[in-house]
Amino acid sequence: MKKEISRRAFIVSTCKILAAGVLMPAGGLAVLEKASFAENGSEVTDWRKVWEGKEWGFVVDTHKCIGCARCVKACKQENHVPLDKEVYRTWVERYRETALGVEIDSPNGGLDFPPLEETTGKQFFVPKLCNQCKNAPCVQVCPVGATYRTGDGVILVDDKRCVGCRYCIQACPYGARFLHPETHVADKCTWCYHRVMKGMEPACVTVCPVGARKFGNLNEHSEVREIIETERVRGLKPEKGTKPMVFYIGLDEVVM
Amino acid sequence: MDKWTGGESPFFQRAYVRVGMLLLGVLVVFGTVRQLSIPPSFGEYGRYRGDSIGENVARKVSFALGSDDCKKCHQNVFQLVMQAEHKGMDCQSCHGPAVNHVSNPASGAPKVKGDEELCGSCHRQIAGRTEELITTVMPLWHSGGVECGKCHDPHQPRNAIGGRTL
Repeated sequence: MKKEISRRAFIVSTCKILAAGVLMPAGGLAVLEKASFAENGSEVTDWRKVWEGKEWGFVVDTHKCIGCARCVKACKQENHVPLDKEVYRTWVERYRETALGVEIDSPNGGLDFPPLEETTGKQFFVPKLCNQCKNAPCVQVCPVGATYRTGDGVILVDDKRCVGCRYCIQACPYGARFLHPETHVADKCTWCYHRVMKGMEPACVTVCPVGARKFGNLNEHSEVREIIETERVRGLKPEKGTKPMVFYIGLDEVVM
Repeated sequence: MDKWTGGESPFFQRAYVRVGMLLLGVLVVFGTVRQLSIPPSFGEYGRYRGDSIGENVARKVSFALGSDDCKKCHQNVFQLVMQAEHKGMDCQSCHGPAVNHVSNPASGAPKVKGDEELCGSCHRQIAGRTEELITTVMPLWHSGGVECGKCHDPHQPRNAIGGRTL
């Protein structure tokens, strides 16, 4: 027997089937998301509550820095970056004005400045680290969503998601990123987010013997906020439009 | 009737049914691939895996909170340091990461050698490190190769050489 189907009935049933096809995977996705939310390993179920009222800021006082690179060493120890490899989450640059122009060096990230006596001309140290830009190019270019800026203003790397394409390393105008020689994924300064979330300061701030590095919440009455409000500070490469969140005191115009 | 419009042919042999089935198949494949390739917590807070935040935060700490942790047991040394030039410095600046020692004091003290390598990292004379910032020396000229710790106690650098305390 031939079964007749009206045009109307066909369109209705086709629409139903199509709708089911679209909604079924989406529905499955929603269920999965919920499950992961509940079985999330850490105690925090909603990071938005943790981030509320927090915006971290960093101040570097270039007048105080003595170029000892304790920060460089401590950072590597804290964040498991091999000490014998030429990769750094933070490093110290030295600027020297000579007859030939400005010389910039940072041997072994600042750990191996050679002994030198000549002291003519302007010379100073500039510690560098990730600027945790408000408008971060590294986050924009990541093709897999493996790097992101948290609600309290720190850019993190998802080392399970990162495919090591190095696009973010190219995108960062500050050269703050590198490919970790052991994990082979992008790595960078996180302002020691794992310490900050436990109520500690970043390791470099803790060990700095002269107090050239300061860290704090810009939304509270903190030392960092007071410095930014009362002193003349500026970020690196403002022309890049990245809105860097590391503020330098006494930054010379030659600093790049 | 024209065969392309269906007409008298059975339901599953009609052209528009076949196209519909093909479209449906494509959609199901797309949905499945999408579901499998996007990690579960992706998109919770933004275009990234929400679980990654917890993983980053769960990383192990190496440096302890600071000198306040050390002070609990080493009150005497802390008092010495507070009276001298290195006042205000964190113990771990020289002693290195100490979180294991703080949580389990028996697990090896973070002892360091007061030699040119350690003291020199701040006090070695190098270009850029000016006298207004810190006291610097040319280590070989200053001591002729004698270890810094032989004359200077890092906790009270000038005490042993008849110098001042603050």
